[in-house]
Amino acid sequence: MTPLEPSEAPEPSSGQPRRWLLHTAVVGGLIALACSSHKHRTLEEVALESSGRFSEVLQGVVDDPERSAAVGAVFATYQEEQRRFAADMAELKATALASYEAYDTTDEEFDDIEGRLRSRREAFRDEIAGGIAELLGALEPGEWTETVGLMLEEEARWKEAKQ
Amino acid sequence: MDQRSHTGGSTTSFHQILIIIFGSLFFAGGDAKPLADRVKDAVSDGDRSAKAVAAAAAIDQARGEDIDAVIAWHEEFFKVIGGPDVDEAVVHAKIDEIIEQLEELERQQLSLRSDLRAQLDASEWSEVFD
Repeated sequence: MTPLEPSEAPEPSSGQPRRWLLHTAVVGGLIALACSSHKHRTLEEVALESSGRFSEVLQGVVDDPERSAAVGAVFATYQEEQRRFAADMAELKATALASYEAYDTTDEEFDDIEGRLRSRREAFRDEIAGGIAELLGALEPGEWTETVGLMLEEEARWKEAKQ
Repeated sequence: MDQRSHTGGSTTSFHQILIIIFGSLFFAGGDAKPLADRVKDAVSDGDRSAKAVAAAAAIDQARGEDIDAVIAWHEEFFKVIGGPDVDEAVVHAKIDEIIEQLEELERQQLSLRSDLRAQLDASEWSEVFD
């Protein structure tokens, strides 16, 4: 599937606050900038783009402006954590790949890399587990499940459109 | 070989968001020539070449299976966190489970690397990976 270009993003619902249009535009611009130097998008780049789309769907589910802002703030924090994790993992992956390709890499060196990967993954696990709990606290019962369901439907539509 | 050059391919971007969450490692690149072909080019000794190519082919095959497995774990993860009774402990435990699965996958990748390394000398290894 070719990832969705920012300019091809679906129209937001009419009740969606203006700030989310701005947010989407900013995220889209940053993604376009990040992708401009690559012939192909990496998993990390596409994932960050998806994160922006998830945010849009989430906001469409929450009608109340005050709660919408609260949910948006939680999700923005999560996205920032995700970006930091992506940067750290890119560095760790580059190290792991170089070690994998080097003939003389020792088992001890691989163990060290494994330990660093585990440590970073666990730190991110703690961040997002807390973030999801916070998000659930800001949502009415059923909104989270509805968000996930809508996002899956959205994905199916985009996948079909891009085939 | 560059795992960062692997693009979306057969997966949906919604699943890819979760791939970044857990930072899966895929050592073989999606755009690169299959490892088995590169090994075949690098090893001229007929008997040893067959063993080396088989080891490389195992890495190529495992990579595709690994990606499918990771996507399946992510789907399962999302079903769990999209459920009505999810809380921080559930999310935490599910991520722990996936971290363990990822580590096992990476250990298998390194085991296959060892199998290939046993069939190649240093200069052949460099020819394949440089």
